[in-house]
Amino acid sequence: MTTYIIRQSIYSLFIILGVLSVTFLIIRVLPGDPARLALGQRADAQSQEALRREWKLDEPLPVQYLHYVSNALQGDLGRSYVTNRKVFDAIIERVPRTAVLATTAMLLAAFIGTMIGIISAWKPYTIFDNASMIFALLGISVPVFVLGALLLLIFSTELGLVDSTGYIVNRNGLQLELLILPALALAARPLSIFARITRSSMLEVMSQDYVRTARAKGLSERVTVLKHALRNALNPVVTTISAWFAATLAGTFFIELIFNWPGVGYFAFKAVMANDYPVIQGVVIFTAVLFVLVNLIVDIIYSIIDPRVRLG
Amino acid sequence: MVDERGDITPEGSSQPVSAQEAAAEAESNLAARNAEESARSLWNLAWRRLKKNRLGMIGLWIILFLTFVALFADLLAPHSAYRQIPDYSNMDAGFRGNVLLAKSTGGYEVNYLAVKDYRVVGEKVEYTDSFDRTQSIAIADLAGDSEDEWHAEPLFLLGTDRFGRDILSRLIYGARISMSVGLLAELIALLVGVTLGSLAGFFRGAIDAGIMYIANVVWSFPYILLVIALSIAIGVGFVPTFIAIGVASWVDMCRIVRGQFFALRETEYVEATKALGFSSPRTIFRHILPNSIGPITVIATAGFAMAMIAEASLAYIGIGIPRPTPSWGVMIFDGKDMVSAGVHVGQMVYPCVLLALAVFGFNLLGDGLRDALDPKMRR
Repeated sequence: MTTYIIRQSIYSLFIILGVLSVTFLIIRVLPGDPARLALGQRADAQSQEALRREWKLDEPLPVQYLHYVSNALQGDLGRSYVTNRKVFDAIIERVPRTAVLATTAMLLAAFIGTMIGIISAWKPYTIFDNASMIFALLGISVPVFVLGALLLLIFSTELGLVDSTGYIVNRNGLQLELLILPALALAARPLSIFARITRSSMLEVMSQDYVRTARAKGLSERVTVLKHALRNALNPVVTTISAWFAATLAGTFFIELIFNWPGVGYFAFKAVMANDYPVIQGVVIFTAVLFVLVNLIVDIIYSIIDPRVRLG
Repeated sequence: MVDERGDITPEGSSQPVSAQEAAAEAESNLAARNAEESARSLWNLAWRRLKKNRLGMIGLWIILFLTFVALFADLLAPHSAYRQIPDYSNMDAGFRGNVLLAKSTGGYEVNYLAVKDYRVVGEKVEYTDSFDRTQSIAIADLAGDSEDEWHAEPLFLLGTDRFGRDILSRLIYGARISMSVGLLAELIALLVGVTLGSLAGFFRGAIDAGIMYIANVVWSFPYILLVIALSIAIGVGFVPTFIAIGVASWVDMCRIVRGQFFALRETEYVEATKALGFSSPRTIFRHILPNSIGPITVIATAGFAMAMIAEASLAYIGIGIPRPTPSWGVMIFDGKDMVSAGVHVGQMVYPCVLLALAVFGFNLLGDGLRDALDPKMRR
């Protein structure tokens, strides 16, 4: 048990090192002198030189790399070219807003998605099943920014139900009605995937012998489906839901942009517009590391619940 | 893309081949039965099953339609995707213009003069322009000899965008951009993914651990953020865009190919290739990969759709394929401003619908192929 956790933790640390190496490589490929990019075209040679020294840009690449990795591991992701604020602080400050959005979307997706999946598998090839599976496939197909834009068009422009200016203009703190559309748009894709996986997993379990036995001994359909089949069918569903949580955090990128939601994604978009490389890099590293950590935690929880995992 | 995927086991594993048989004959048997013949019958069977799958066929038709549009965009597009007629900015669907074609002084072959009304006066044409001013132009300066040649009433079936460009034509050329980026990015993903997956699955051990480490690192990045970062690093334009998307998209393919190798290594016919002393490349290319073609096709279909979304996403945030190249992502982004104002919603809705339709088509086909290629369902 302990050895499993230690082994997984060390592997995750190596993955994080790999993530840092990849971002380092990407930054090195970028054209242009980082110091000049940071200070603007008109900066004098002296301050550029000072910044170059501070960032160790004159050192050989391996030294730069070590400097970069040790800084990143301590949470120092550099400073924004535009505001000169620490990137890490700026991200942390915005995480709660993104987390509210992503969590709402995930709860919606997990709840509605599995419900649809269960009902579909219970009565397969009925109108409900066929219709919901087509909608699920549509939900997977419509890109998140397309769905967001269409929702905004329908509910804000055409029906006038929701304020499209979003969170930013509306500085009255968190308002529930501002959360509904972006959370729905964000939830559509994971919801569809959960529905499909729950359905196929349920269908597989429902054809097993023990479900037939449960029916044969006269248990009600409700008990058979909810107690016997569902319990065993949920395993792959839970795996997928946990895998999607981090993906959904990253998926807020377009949603925040469309709905003017000032979270991490919106921050990253502004940085892309302004060529603010440290911020882009910081957001990429932050979400990747978050993803690795979430997976690590899920792995550990799994190893506690299901001993077969750590032997496998 | 996280998705439920049935593990597809090889089709038609052969009878055990005794090592005493002549190697040449044995191989020709093996190769024929396992790779070529069974691949043919695999596709025959799959095709027959797919034809019965209504949704899968709808997907196939959507893709064939878009491929046709992309290939013959030049013939299908009623107008240029780039020509701006400032007088005709933001026109509604079905708008019919009224233009005089003048000899060009700039980049185009002809200039379009938007007119409300015109009449021929001797050697000149007098016309009323969009601001109700009366202007005139010498017939010698018009492009063409007869009135039919220098006067046109172009129809803008879906209206024009804010620069007065024909939306239908831009959508049609956008299909070409979208499909070709999807294809090229998926080819890169296929090449990298199949190569690395084969190496990892065939040699195992340290090579497998190393490749899977890289795959896990790449997989840790949120897909769209990695594409954005790569795209910023490599640059803007058509080629950098599909390279960035391809380089970010190979992990699914690598994993599925590796899994296939792990499954197929245990089969008798792969063991037989070992017993017969075949070289590694021969076993990989002639025996294992041909039997993995089913799952590879399914993943590639899904990957194609993902690449199309990624291209539009990049264009949407203003990196990737630059303006004025017609890309659906750019059109959606530009249309969004119109929609906020509540006018000309078509400018955003048309490209939205097309992009969703394209991805839907690929996903329908992917689902259909998975069912068609799944040996568990074949009888």
